[in-house]
Amino acid sequence: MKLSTTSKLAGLFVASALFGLTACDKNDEPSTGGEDGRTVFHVAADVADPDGDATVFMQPTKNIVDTTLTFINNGYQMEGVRSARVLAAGGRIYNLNYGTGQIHELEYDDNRSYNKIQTVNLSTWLGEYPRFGAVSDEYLLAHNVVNTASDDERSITVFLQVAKVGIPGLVFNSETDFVQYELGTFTVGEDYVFRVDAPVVYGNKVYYGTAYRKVGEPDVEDTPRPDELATLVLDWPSLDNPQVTTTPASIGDTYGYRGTAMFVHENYVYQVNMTTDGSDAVITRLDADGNYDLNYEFNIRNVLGRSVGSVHFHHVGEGKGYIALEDISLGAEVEDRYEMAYFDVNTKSIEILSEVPKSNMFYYQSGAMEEGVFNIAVSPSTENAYIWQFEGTTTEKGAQLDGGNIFVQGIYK
Amino acid sequence: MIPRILLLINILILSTSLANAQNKTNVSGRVIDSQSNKGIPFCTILLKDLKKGGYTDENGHFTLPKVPVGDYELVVTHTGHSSYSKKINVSESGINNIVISLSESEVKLDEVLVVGESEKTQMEKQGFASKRIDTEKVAIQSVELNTLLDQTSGINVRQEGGLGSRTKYSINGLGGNAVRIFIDGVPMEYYGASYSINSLPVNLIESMEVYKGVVPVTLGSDALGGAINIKTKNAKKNSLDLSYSVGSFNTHQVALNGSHRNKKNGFTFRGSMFYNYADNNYEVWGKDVTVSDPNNGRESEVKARRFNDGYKAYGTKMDIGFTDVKWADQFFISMVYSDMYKEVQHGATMNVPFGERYYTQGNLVPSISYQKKDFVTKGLDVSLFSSYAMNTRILVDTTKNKYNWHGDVETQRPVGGEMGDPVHSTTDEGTFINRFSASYTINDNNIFNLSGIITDYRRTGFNREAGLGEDTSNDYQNIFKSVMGLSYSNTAWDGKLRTNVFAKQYSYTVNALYHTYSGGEYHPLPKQSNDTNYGYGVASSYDVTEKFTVQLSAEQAVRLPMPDEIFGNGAENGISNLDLNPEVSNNLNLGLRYGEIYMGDHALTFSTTFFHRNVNNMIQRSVDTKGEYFFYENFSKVLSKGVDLQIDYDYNRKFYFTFSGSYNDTRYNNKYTSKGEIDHLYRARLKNLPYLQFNTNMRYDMTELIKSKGQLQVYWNMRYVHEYYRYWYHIGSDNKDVIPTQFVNDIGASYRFPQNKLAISLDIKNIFNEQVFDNFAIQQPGRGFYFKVSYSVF
Repeated sequence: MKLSTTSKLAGLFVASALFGLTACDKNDEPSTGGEDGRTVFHVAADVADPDGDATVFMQPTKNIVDTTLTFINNGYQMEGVRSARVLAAGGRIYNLNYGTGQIHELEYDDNRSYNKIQTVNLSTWLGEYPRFGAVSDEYLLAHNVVNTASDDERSITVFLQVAKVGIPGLVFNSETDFVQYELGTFTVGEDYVFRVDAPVVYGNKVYYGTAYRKVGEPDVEDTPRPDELATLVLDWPSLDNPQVTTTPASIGDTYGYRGTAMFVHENYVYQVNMTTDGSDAVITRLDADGNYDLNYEFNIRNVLGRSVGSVHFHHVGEGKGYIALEDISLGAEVEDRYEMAYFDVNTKSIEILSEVPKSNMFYYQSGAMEEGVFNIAVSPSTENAYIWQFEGTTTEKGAQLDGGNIFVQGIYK
Repeated sequence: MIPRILLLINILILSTSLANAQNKTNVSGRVIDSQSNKGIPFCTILLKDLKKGGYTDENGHFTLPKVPVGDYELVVTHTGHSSYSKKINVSESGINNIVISLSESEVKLDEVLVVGESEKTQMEKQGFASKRIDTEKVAIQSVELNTLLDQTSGINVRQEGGLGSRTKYSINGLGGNAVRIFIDGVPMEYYGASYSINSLPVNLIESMEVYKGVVPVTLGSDALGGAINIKTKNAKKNSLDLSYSVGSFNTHQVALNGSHRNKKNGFTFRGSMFYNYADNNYEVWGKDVTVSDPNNGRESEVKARRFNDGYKAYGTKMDIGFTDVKWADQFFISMVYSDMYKEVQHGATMNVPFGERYYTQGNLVPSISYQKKDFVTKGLDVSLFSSYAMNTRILVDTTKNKYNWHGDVETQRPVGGEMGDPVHSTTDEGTFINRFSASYTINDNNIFNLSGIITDYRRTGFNREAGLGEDTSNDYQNIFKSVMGLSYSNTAWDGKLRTNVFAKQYSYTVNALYHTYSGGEYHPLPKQSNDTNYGYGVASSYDVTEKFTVQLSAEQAVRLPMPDEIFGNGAENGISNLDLNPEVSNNLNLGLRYGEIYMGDHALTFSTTFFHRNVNNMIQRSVDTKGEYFFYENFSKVLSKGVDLQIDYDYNRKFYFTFSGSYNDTRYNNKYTSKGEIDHLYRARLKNLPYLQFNTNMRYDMTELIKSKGQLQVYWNMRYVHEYYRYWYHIGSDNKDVIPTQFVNDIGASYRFPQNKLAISLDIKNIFNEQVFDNFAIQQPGRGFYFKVSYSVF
């Protein structure tokens, strides 16, 4: 078929227009960096109120080294009825409104702020208080565990709800992307999953860290802890076949309290526990079938020769990373109890980074790797706060932060 | 808005109170200039003994309606003329066509004696920074007490929704529990929500007094930021009034108010009843009102009617006793009963609609009161009040249904409770309230007053949904509170200087019994604490000229902790802190009042107050380290400064205009957090607090235009509240939660038929149907039409 010049021009025009439209469609073209090619970091802060509420603000920046970053008259407020939970994946920012069940997708506006691109409301399936995590640049998982106690308080029935959300665009189909399981009814003395979070995908499995509890006698005030650590494993991407797998390596939870508690390295998923009541800080690992490798245990207490607390860790590659360790000898009344350490799961070695001041890292959530350097905010309560650059065991102060009650909880990219 | 000048005139001119026609008549006549024999307009006419009066019209004519038969002193004053005074006898046939001749005087304008100051003016010219809101003129309109308060300079009222919704008050920047509300001098918190500013119709109220910062000892309580005292109608004559208002959102309000007095033996009966009902099903819309697609969770904004916001309240108050008898000016045995039901549409924002959550509250309050002037000895006035307030609150939130903004059940939750865990809680409160006031007048210039209020509060509560080991039905919490005040009032320099010095003692004892559960049994855990604090202050005013008054007041005020602050609130994960200390604030007010100035047909009054509040040990909410529970602790400091002003103007006593405005600069004043960290909120404007607002009210009396003997008035109210941030204004820059600027217009018309028995009004609120927010992301009602009829049976 011969086309006239006019037709060709028209076709070219239409194609150009379509290309232009497509290029303008923010849903399909996440921005991963600034226009000048420099990496954009997203720094998030929890601003504590005198009345105990915390509001989350985020600001983009290309410089986290030799500058001062402030949230005074600067930063984008993240929507949150009770609180906002943020993460970055695939070049975009995601904000879970804890209190409504909405997830917002935000994009860096190439300036100093963000544009909201999309919202999905998952409260119909997960309630208003789910948790969420990114398992890749293609998927978020949002999840909730619901526990119902019997009238006599001697048994608890546990439901697991998981939604898989495609990104960018927050694509969700309730028919195919949502599962709800009754994990069972547990009676006094039995152990059950109380909460899940911090999922990672490896192979055809998704691994969830858990809060693991024992059904106690109704007349006992404190909730007893099981003698094991637990992980909840589902098939991926079907979300079928929920299984709870355990290890006696230590006691405590494994969901990282908003931080990362698992990473994939050389055919295994490595996991750190949230210690409780002086239990051992350990790094364990799970295999591709979703089972703990009982032959592997990296007991940090044994290596250091003293009891420390752990919550989460940050993998920087090759089985190495950074972990905040609580000096439990200081007692709960001391605010700055966590020191930073560099670990290697291959050699089961750990080294305290003594130049880094102690701070409260319990609520810390995310650091960012850039060109082999790990960037993390350290905010001692009575000293200046900085973003620190770690490379191996070498540490250096970077950008200064507000400090005080403007707590930088994560650096994302 | 109630125009101040209108109310002034209201007191002076029109006594629209209902009277027994057989004993009342009219006094009318004309005031003329002795030289020209022309009528003198706008003379003040006063029957001194009755505190009843009026003004002459443009031709010098006046009529004082419904004057009881008897002997009175008639006083006539006018700027530029000598005053006139004469004893008159008013018989049943009344006095018509009395002619009063005034001669011109030499006195200067600012030296003219103003007689017949209204109670309102007298109160506002005392040293206390105060305002009085008389409700008589607006009683025939469909207006709520909250609206009247909000139109007063220095006060901000924030409602969460329509009729019956929760309300927050702040006075000059201090709000929450720092502001105390009284009804007839009794702290209203013991009555509960069913008998409150929210529920009481305007027809049952005579006036509201607002004290800013410094509160007189006669209103003996622990107010810190100010106080509002609601005075119910206090008729000592035979009357029966009825009103019914119907309006948008299925709103109905009925009020019945009557009294009877036997002239022979002084036996007096007073009764009032009210009934309020509203569906509050007004439309809401915007980014927080969405319905999500059942397949993909995509949200779409909808315009939805509120569907679980209904409100019903009813109550009655009866007083039986004697008035104006030898042994008592007033002796009553009284009973208040009220009940309410309120649905809850959503939580802190409109994002998640609730379909079934509700609460109820009811109370029964028997009381006895006694008042006597010249008790035992001349000059000793006493007032005694004692009551036991029983009140029950129930909160129910157990449904598993999850609703969307269409009002449809979109799914079932595995566990009940729309706002968290399922709750069906009952809280019972009983408070023994004793109030006394004794003042001794040594002479016209020196008065001592001793006042006190002693309360014994006890609370029990339990949640029917509570699990084993969490039963609290055998727990109790008790606060014994005593606030005593001694004041001395002095008037000097021919009454130009008025001074009131006072001291207050605040003490309280807390007793609580909790239980722990172990081994299958509950074990008692008693707790106790107590504290005593002192406050003191001075309030003085000086008439620089007859028209210009300067006021100065200062106080160290103390606020004792509230029950929920000490004991927590289990339904909301609140835990107790029995070691909580009172808040202390140093308050300073400087007030200027100028008026009423006459310029031909124009009359103007100007009043303003500059204030300074320095609050220490502020009680604030804190969260435990894991964020699971909250409790209250003493920590914050707040500094508030600002100014409010009010201008009242009228033209020819037909057109009235009032402007009120206020600005407060209220800032958080802590350098460090309770953890010892640098607090970046230091010196920041307090979050979630309006700081700039204006109100105007225009009213036009069109009676002459309709050539009727009735009274027709039209009015137009405007309210402006400048935008403010939900969180701290200097943290962050984009996408911040803002409570947008409000600009609301209401109009209405009222007509009082001849004979003064029947009145009707039509009120249109929010005429431009603006989307209005008093709180972040909680929309207020849109345009509403209200019709009200008021009838005086006798």
